[in-house]
Amino acid sequence: MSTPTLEQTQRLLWKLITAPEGAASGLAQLSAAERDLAASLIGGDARLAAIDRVEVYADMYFYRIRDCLKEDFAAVCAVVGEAHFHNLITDYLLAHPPSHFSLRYAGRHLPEYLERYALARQWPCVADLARLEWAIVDVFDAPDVTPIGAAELAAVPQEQWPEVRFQLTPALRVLRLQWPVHTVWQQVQQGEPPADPVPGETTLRVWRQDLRVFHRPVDAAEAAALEAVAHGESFASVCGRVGELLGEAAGAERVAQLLESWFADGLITGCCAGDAQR
Amino acid sequence: MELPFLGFGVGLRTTHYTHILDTSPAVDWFEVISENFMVPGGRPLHILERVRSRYPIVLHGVSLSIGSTDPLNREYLSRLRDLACRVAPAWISDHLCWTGVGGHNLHDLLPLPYTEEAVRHVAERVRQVQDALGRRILLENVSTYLEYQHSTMPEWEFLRAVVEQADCGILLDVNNIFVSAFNHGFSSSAYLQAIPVERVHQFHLAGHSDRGAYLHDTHDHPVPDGVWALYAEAVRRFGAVSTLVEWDDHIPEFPVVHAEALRARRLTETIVHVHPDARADTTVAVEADHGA
Repeated sequence: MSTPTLEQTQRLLWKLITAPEGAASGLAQLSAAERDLAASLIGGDARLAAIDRVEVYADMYFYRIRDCLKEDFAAVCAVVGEAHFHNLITDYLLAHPPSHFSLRYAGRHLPEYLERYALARQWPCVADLARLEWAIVDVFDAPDVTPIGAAELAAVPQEQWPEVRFQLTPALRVLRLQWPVHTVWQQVQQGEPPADPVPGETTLRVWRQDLRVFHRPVDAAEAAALEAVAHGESFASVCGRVGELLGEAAGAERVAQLLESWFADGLITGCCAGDAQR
Repeated sequence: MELPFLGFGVGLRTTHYTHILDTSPAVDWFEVISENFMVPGGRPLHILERVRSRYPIVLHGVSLSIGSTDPLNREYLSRLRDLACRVAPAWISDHLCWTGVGGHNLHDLLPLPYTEEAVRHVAERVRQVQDALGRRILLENVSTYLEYQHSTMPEWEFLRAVVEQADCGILLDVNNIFVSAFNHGFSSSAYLQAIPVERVHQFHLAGHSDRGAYLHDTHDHPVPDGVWALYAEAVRRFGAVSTLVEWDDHIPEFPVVHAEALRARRLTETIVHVHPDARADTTVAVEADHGA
């Protein structure tokens, strides 16, 4: 057999290391030609056979990523239990082997993957719970943009307010969910056994302020207002959206309250009326 | 390749952030895992800049994948360069290994076959990386658990050939030599003797686990006696080299890790003269950069 090229060597080893049942099982599933190549590739000795040496790497691959995802999705793991989580990650890695250079992104497809995964039949809230946990990971190291205070808005002439548009911090996510999973997250954080939540449409905002990540449920008016602002709609338009839910007068009052809380939480990073950027 | 002697440092780990920022321990320098800080913003970069304002730092990567047959990841290099501009590390290092292929990342340090093909491949890529970063890098020998039957030279010859063809430096991990020497039955002393003195700019020290049939580079123990003995041998050959203690799992309180770095200093001082002002203080430089 001719000497394997570097690329052949790496591709074969990758197959063995990522085989879901371990390197020995992966070896058995190779084509005859690949098995011949594998047999000629790795040296073994009486102390440790060649395939057991590959198995060291296979174990490290799986457990390193599983442990990382267990940290990122601690509440999901607490809900489904260690054994189910282990199997989940085994299956997930087959569907989504890591491609980013940083382990930080290894879990980016897990919320979506969980939607169609068998565990979601037994624990239907886990996909939403994973969405919350991934939003927390995402917001934690989102770009730094200094928030502005209410004084910046006050400096805009009042007649221009209807046309004012706000910029939201990149460290904000608004999640529209089918389950109030923040209650489950809280239970896990407090070391309590997670209880099955009652299904119910829930909108959570997840944001970072002063390097700390927070999240809390928001009502329909705040959800609509945040989405309108995120889409670049004007102050008047945002008031209109909230007014559709609460009535015109109550809507304007509610938007004023929301703006106050968004400034306080550091969600607003700029406002502009026309061409003026603040 | 002129690099400062930084003294005896410790790997920066999240569990120690509060202790370090609250007490400013008298550690000479910190090494940080580059990828942990190649993020858009938030706490990691905030902490790193605070640490950097007090200590010299070195960027140590785990994902360069210098030996992969995939194309070099230009986005990775661009972000690494940005991070280096931001924190002005004393140097940048990564591992002589491959970490993925076919667009997939194994998040592990895989050994290369020790062949002429691999030497040429890696050396060419190191040169490209050094061009992209605008500086020379250090390559670290990794712990290995397997060897390829088509290797045509021992690991130390491979390492030497790569760094000489690429014109880069070496981060010599003493624990990794110890681990690989056990796992493959070679002489760790022969390894040290084959490494060109002028290329070595940093040592790593760490603990490992004994799995019976093999040693595992787990970084979850104090530095074992055998590794200390090999370190002493390395100091006799290479002199006083910037030394860094790694501890990545079951991490104890900071003073326990720092004590290992202080032990390395004492051991080095019994063998060679260490300048009393060993810590090369590049702190001022980064503050000036930020002010510019």
